[in-house]
Amino acid sequence: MTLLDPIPDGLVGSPPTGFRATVSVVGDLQAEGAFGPSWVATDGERVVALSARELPVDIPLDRITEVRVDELFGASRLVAVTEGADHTLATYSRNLVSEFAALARALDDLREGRDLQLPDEIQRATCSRCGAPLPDRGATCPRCLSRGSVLRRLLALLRPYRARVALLMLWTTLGVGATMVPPLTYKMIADRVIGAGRHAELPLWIGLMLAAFLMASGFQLLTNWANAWLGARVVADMRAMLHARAQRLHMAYHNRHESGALVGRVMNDTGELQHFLIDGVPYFVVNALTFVTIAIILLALDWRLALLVFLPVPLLVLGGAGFWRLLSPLFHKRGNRVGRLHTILSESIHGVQTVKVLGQERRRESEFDQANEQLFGVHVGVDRTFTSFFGTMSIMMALGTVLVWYAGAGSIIEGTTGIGLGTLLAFVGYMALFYGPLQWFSAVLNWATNALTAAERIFAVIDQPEEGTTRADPVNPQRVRGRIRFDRVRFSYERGREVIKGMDVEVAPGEMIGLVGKSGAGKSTIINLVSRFYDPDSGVVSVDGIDLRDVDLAAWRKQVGVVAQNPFLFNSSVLDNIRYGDPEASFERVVTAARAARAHDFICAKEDGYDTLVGDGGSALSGGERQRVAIARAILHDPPVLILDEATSAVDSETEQQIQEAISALVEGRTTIAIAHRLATLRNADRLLVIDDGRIVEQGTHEELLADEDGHFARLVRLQTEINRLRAEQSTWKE
Amino acid sequence: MERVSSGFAESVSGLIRRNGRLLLERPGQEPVEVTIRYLRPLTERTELVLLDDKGREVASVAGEDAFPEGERELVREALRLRYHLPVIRRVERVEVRFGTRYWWVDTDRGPRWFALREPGKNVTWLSPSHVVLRDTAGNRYEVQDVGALDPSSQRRIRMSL
Repeated sequence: MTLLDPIPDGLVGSPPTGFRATVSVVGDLQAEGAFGPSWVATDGERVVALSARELPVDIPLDRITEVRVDELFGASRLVAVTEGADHTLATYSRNLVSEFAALARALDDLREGRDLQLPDEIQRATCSRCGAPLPDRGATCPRCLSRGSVLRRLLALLRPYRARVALLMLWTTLGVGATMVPPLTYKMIADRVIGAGRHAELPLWIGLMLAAFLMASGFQLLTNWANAWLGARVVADMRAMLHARAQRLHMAYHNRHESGALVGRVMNDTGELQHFLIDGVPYFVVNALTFVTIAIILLALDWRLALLVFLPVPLLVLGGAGFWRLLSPLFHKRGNRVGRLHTILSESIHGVQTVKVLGQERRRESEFDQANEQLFGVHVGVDRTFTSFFGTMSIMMALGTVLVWYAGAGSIIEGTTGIGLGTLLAFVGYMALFYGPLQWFSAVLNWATNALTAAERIFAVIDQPEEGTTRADPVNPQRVRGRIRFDRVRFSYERGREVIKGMDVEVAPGEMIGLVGKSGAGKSTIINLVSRFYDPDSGVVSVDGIDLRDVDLAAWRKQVGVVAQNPFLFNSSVLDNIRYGDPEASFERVVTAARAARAHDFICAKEDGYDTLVGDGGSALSGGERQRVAIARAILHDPPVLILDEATSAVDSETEQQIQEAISALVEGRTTIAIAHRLATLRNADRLLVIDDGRIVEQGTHEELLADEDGHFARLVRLQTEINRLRAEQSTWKE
Repeated sequence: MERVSSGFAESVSGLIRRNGRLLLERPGQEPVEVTIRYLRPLTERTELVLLDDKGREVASVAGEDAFPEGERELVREALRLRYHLPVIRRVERVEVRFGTRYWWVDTDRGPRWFALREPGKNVTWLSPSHVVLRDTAGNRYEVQDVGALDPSSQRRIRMSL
């Protein structure tokens, strides 16, 4: 893609004559913090920076020795370093982190004479259409999204169930129709049977009344039944879509978002939607239909009385809306305060020992009391608002009823308008049906907004791109040999903070590589790139000479075995866990793998043998046991490429020995990349790569590296030995 | 290099700005490139720390008075260049769309429009009247004293937070 922002207005100076930008970015801050535009551009020869306050900067690229991003508090700064001096090119807010990171890399590429490489896509923090800040980088803009479009998408989910929807609508209409009949029978009985003395008609009208009541209830029952099915069906479909998508989302998405948020989306948001679809939508449809039908009937019966009935309607609707405006911040506040109380309570209980030791029981009590009283206050507020609302609404409805009786009875007595007792009775009957739902219309609209928000959040996940190959016809290697190459690989999880800063390395088939380095040096990132949980920002990761991005993802993952530091086990039996990647594997193969992984003995010693349930996340097994189950799983999987993230946690020496034997069995004949912590692994590795700050700083065998006393590795080992000595001393004390 | 083992250094001197860099030159020592930071940037912008280019402490002081008068402007400038926390002076409008709250505000650094989500996570009350908001891009904004704002801004804040 191109990154070519035009020059904004209001800058000091202008680019030199003849300057034609090939990459340019607009910034949003001045050096000392005021919001305002700036512009940084390069034409491949020089970099030019203009801003609204500072003097222009113009530096030839060949004088620049480094392009650096300084993380400030609440902003970042792009700096060009020349011999002995720093030049600020731009200061910018978090909104523009991605854009400037791409620019920084482009400047580096051009300065070092490489081809210009821009990311395929920059996820902007603002909407490209309306300029609004987005809820998340690259997300759909809520301001450009209409409620109608979300609703249409939701309705599209109903398409497979068209016949049921049609039936549901028919029943709803019939139900509403039946509800309209009884007040008319009041009129008939009053006017014809009592008024005109046609006593013989009484059974007819009574029968009709009874039939209408029964039909109304019957259709309502049918409607609710059908609706419960449909609503739950649509939501179940959405949940399945969400879960399927969550499984195929890029790891980058999972890293950006808390797992709780995704679980919440699958359960809470779909729950909210279900509630609305099953209870809210029918309520709205039935009542809207009832409202319109009654209005028409009333006008037909007597338009003057009808207008009296309509008189309180605006008050009811406006009152309802006003009431919701008052109530929703109160609900919001109540939610926050409940959350706060939860936090305090849970801290008090989990941290009870610390509280006791520091003697802060009183303070906890007063903190809790304060939050508790605040919650009490908002509870009272919510309930009182509700009560006053109902009171006000009842008065308005009563007002309507009184007016109708007054005017209706007056007309009957005067006999001028032709209103009979029957018409008046029918009016009173309809009024009860008419006013009731009105007060809730605003509530339902509010509810609809919340439900549509939930739906939008769900769609936002469903719309996320799936991970996969960049090519339409991915290469599907049957079994790779396992030659892995990193070619000028650069990578960042968050744009602007590079974790891998240009890495070149080749691993031969069957070779065992140990990655060594401080935490945060980039070791885990290297294995994430090999597993293709992420793609490099630039450069190529390849296997047997094929760019990983061109390899069929599922086929590649089958070739890579991963034994994680804290292996995840599913809550089922040991047997199921070992053959998770190949549920069809014969039991004999499982046993062979378990034996190779030195897991067979401990499994057999358990009461339930291979049927032992491992518990939630493997909690019923010890750390060493979990690791060996995971190793058995990897052996059974039999991948040509193996990734091993060794656990740092100390285990007893016998377990250590067994794990070591298990690992030796596992790595045999496979290209292995191990994050090495154990001395034995370090010794066994064919080659160690020492990683520091995203670069390979040393490589060689264990002995070679130890020989260089001033080297990174020797220093790391000395530090580790010191820590182990201290640990050993500590454990002697304990004994 | 002199290290302060406890408390704050009485005085620090030798700050100079050269070629866009802030250096600390002390007699008999190599000049060190330093950055200056607040120790409590949110609650109390007084105490300062000088870090070298590896992020190690060079000195911590109780305030800018620990520097000679001639160097204090350098300290202030360095802090102005580092700390970008707009202070909200007026809340013009707040609008909710699909669970995202949009804020139109006027700050000491000019007008700004930002989006706020998940207030439980992104709204931090430092005291009952002092609040820091984090927008969806990660920028932060501060209201130092809600009670000191005009009534309609106060109402918008109370309704929205």
